[in-house]
Amino acid sequence: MTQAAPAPVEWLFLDHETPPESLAAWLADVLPHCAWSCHVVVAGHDPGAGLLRTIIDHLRREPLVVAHLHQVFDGAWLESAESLDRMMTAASGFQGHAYRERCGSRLVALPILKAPGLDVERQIESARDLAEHLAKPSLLLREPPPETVAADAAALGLRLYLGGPGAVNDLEILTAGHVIDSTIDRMAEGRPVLGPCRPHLVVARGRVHACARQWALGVSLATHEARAPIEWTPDIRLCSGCVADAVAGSTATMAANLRRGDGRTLALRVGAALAEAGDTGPAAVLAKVAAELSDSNLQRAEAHIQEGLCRLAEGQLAAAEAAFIGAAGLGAEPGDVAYHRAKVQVAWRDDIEALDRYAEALELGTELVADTDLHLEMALSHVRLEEWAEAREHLCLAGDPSTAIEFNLGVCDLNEGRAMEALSHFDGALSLSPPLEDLGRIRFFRGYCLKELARFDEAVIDLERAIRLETAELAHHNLLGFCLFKLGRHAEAATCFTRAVELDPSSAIDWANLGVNLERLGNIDRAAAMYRRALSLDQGIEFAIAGLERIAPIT
Amino acid sequence: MQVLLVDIHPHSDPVTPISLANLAAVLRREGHPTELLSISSGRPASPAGLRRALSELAPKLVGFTAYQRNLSQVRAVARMARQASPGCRTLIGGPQAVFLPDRALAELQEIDIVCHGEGELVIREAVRAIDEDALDRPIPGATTRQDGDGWLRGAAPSPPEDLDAYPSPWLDSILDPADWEESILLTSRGCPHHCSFCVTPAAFGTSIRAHSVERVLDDISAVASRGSGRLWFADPNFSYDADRVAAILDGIARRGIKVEMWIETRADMLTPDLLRMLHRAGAHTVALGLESAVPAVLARTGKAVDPEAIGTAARTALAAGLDVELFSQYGLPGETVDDALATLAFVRSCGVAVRGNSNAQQMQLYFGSSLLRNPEAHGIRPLRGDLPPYLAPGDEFETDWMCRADMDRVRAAWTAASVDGGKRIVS
Repeated sequence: MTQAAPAPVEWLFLDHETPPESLAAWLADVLPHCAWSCHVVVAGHDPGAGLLRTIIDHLRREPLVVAHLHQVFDGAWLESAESLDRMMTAASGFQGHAYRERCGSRLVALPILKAPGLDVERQIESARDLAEHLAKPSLLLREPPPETVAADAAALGLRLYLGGPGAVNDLEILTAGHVIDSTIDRMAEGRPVLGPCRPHLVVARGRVHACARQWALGVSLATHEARAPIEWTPDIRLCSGCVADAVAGSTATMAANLRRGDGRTLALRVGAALAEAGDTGPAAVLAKVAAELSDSNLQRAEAHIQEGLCRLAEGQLAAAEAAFIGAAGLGAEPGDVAYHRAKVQVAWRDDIEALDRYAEALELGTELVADTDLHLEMALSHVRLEEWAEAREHLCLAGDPSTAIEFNLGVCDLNEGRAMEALSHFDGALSLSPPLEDLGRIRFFRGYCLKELARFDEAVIDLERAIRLETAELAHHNLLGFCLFKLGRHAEAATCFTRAVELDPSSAIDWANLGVNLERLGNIDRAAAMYRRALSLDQGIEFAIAGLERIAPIT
Repeated sequence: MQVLLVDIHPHSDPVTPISLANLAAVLRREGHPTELLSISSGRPASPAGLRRALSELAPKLVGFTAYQRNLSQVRAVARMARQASPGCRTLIGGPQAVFLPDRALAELQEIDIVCHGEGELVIREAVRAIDEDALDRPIPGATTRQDGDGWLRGAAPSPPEDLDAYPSPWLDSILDPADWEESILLTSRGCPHHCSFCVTPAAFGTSIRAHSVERVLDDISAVASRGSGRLWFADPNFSYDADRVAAILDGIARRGIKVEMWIETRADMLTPDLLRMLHRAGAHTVALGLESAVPAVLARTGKAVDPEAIGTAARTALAAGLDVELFSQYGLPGETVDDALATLAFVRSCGVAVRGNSNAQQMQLYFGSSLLRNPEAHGIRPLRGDLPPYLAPGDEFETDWMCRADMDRVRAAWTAASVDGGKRIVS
């Protein structure tokens, strides 16, 4: 397929602080590079001035183009109507032709009314009159309207723009609306919700910005006096934050437009995408937005659960626990809540409490995880509590053999002194193609079993493999050093313990082990130094005391 | 000779340009570099970008698929092409061109050639004529602008019975399934029925010509190899031969092709066996042509279907786990508002969700339909007397049974019942 050009700009947002005449000249240069169906949003200019003439000239030159003019009219509806009338009269030539050709309007007037002096009811009334006579407007409000007024506006099909918490001017409100609309489009089209908006430029205070976010950050492409065509080059790394902020600030707008359901879905979907990307902090904020836009307790419960999961991922355990308890109070599935709360307890390292919650989830039932998985989680808690018999009991109920089950059965057996049985389970774990990240631990424990069985030669092979997979694990170096010592391979053992004390210089036992091996290698002075270092950290290491006494006469 | 084929959808997302791709496949086989350009609201282009692309490509022929809804944009891009690539000729084909009245040609000054016949045959001859600077001889199946206001019409060529004579745009990599949300296959042409609102029999004939089952399966394999794996068949009458449908479905399963299919079928074909085969082959939705639930209205259109049989088929398919769409329209000859609302009630009573293609649309009056040849005889009154001759009335008509306000009322009832705001997928 031939591509006509890079994605052209579809939306232009123009402020009221750029000199109108020079802005019109800039627009004349830019419009031919915009999409054939383009939108020009103008905050605060007189539509009778140069901008409108520029757009009309463009439409006369380019029969392909359809321009949507979103002009903010600041004042009473009568003046707006007169301005609009002038606008449509100026465009009547090609509009008539467009009608004859059945291609719809070529200049689509979509006025945005802003009349802060009028109460909201009067503004709606004005909008109704304007819609009947000329074109259906939107309303730009500073305060959320009463519910009845919002219902009237919705019945008329009027869109209401509302400033978010931080919006200070019209353009901010309108660009935030664009971010929301683009995100809803992406969601409807099944595209990633955290992607870039429909291509747009923002011109504010004489500077051109590649997108709303770059404008907010003060990053501009050029001044409006630059004449070269500007290609849309957004920094997509900014999109996540931009979308998150826009959705977080959209609560009042969504409610005012009677789109609470859409707003809630949007907040949940964007929140989920953020959480998946690891941005669980902003995701938790959006879960709160979803809760605010929820219409039923069950919806609120769903939002609370999402918030709890985000807080849990953030390590904000008290907030996570509060969110899950809140969800329970709103009718969330008790089994689900118990499961999530168990996870909080695990993160708190309170396995006793976690076991209670897991047992509750098991009893009440949850669709989040299978019962077998719950048994595995409970087994892991028992393992951490060193309750080997109970752990084994749950492992036996944890379903088909898996790496995790075999491994933990091995750990239980090993800790209960059944090294042969443990070895068999670790072999079982290895036979189930464990993931690479688990392989080091399994090799280590297999080596441990072999050490217990005094099969040091074999243990060394497993432990060397474990170290290749997990080079910074102190215990691996320690155990390998021990086995090598038992085999009389003192130089290699010394290397292991040297590495161990490099990893943890406070490990008294490894200093002492290093001393023993150096002593066996005849390096008495260094051995004595190692014993002393060990005893300086832990005065109770008997073999270090004995070693030092043994070699003291020599040194 | 460099050729550019342009597909324009001004009010919708891009749609796989299967017909233009068929032409591109023919031209590329003949050694003519041919590009496809898709412009739509979901794949926008700027005037400057289009001019640059046209100027860089410098095509000697730019062809368009012309519809009632995109003719204005087609004309604008045709003018651009002539300016950007001196000597470039322009051609229109597609539904609006096939039956374009001769009196319309004088107004379409930016168009040089109008294709009335089978596109693959016409484009080949058109390219040859341009290459040989011989546009003063008739092109079979086309009308060609001559100096001054003269036009030359070539006799319609005889299209091949076996569509496998044409190369495949999927197998020849003219189209890449990864470029499209859904791929489209056109496996047969023509329709033996004579529904008064439809132009297909007049355009493609009343006998059906088709690709072989093996060729269709090869195309489906190519589509499934990349992209979304979602496809639909744009045939006017895909299910004309139950054995062929069964062979295609069986072949998909036999070859282990993984696709998700939307498939239009006939009510009488939806047997338990076929439902099983549809499931196995990856069909998720079956669409049935209902048009109206009122037998007397259907009888006037010449469409011989039994609404009750369609209802039974729809319920059977839904029970079997398939989604079902029912095509219907309102504003048909003899149809009152109550009849139209009865169709809506019927669709809902079948358990079919009013969304996607199950959103009814007003009947359209296009060139080539028997209704437009003599609308008064069917109780139809076009509303606009100022339409340019290259545009058909479309939906701007009233009938003896429904005025404009009635049409609006029915439209509003469908929109209110719709769960997606009335967004139809297949036009």
